[in-house]
Amino acid sequence: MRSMRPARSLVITSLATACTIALFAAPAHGTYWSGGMPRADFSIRTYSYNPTWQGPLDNGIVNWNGTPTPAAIGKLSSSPNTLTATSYSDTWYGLFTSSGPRDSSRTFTIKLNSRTISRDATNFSNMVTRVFSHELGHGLSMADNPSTSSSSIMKYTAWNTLVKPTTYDIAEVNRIY
Amino acid sequence: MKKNRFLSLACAAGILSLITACGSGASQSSTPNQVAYHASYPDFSSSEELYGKADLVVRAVVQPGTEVRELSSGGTDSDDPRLNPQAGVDSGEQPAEDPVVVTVRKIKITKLHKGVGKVGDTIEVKELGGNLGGTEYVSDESTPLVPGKPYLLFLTTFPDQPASVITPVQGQYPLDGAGEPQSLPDNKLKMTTKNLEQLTRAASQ
Repeated sequence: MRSMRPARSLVITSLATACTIALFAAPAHGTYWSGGMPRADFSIRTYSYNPTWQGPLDNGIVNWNGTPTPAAIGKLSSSPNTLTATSYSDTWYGLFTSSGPRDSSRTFTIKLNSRTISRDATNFSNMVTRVFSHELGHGLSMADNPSTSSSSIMKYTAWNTLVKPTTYDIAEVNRIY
Repeated sequence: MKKNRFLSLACAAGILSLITACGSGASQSSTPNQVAYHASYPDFSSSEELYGKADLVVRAVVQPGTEVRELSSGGTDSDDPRLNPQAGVDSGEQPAEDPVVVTVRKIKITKLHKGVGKVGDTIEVKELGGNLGGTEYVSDESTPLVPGKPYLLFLTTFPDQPASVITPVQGQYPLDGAGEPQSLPDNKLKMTTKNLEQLTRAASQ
């Protein structure tokens, strides 16, 4: 009986480890992106585009700031983080670039491709807001295409209709920060 | 017995530490010499939509060698406010140009399904990321084309820059030994030679 204890202990330990992996490892890999900002409150440099873009872009920030999360995105003329919206000769809608280690020195740039967005938009305002919100979601450490059946602005679908962070997105940001 | 229990607990603690490190993505964090790219793309729901949106559809073999370049946006002078977000806005208010680093490969066309070109033509295709000036630009989404391997490629072409695969996941199909396209693991769109021939015929009618 006594000789069984180490074996039983190993079995229990293995089971506990397996449960931990099942509970935590898969969701973290599916939604978390280490390229995001270390804090959910960050700034982006003040931008100025024509009214067709400016309002929908601002809505992207407003939508995140209105969520019950620590997300607090401010516009600041001296921010090192920038947004550029113009025509790029490439196939992406948006490109989030992060530089530096995940600490206060990290900076990012967001590029929005007017060529692909104007080509595929059926509701232009919605699509601009959505693509910008999606890229800001990367700033909030969320990865693309989370493996969930829930609705999410981080998925590559419904670019013209889903414009606000969903219940799933809000829960993920609260989990990460 | 106490020793065994201690070893078991130590092992469990070690495994949990590794899991925590993986979950936090600590090993993937950018370093001063690493820049992370995260691009977002369309998701095509049918092979018809994929074929329709591509400018150039070819079977091609990837040639050896790569070249890493910095590409600027080029922008546009269009008066269309949707295509040109700066139309009517003082350009002095925009951030300085921030080029995108890409890796350019050459492909040799073995069959043309759609677009302008012919068998034997060599064209350039770019992928996000690359190593430039001691900095590694890493793109999470890219699945690099493999030199020497044959592919079915759905491309978008540009007058001023190399072509791009229409999306990294849905735009490239490695060909198997029988020449049949194989979907990448995350690509739900299946493509067969027969299906492609039907699309090509439908487009020419």
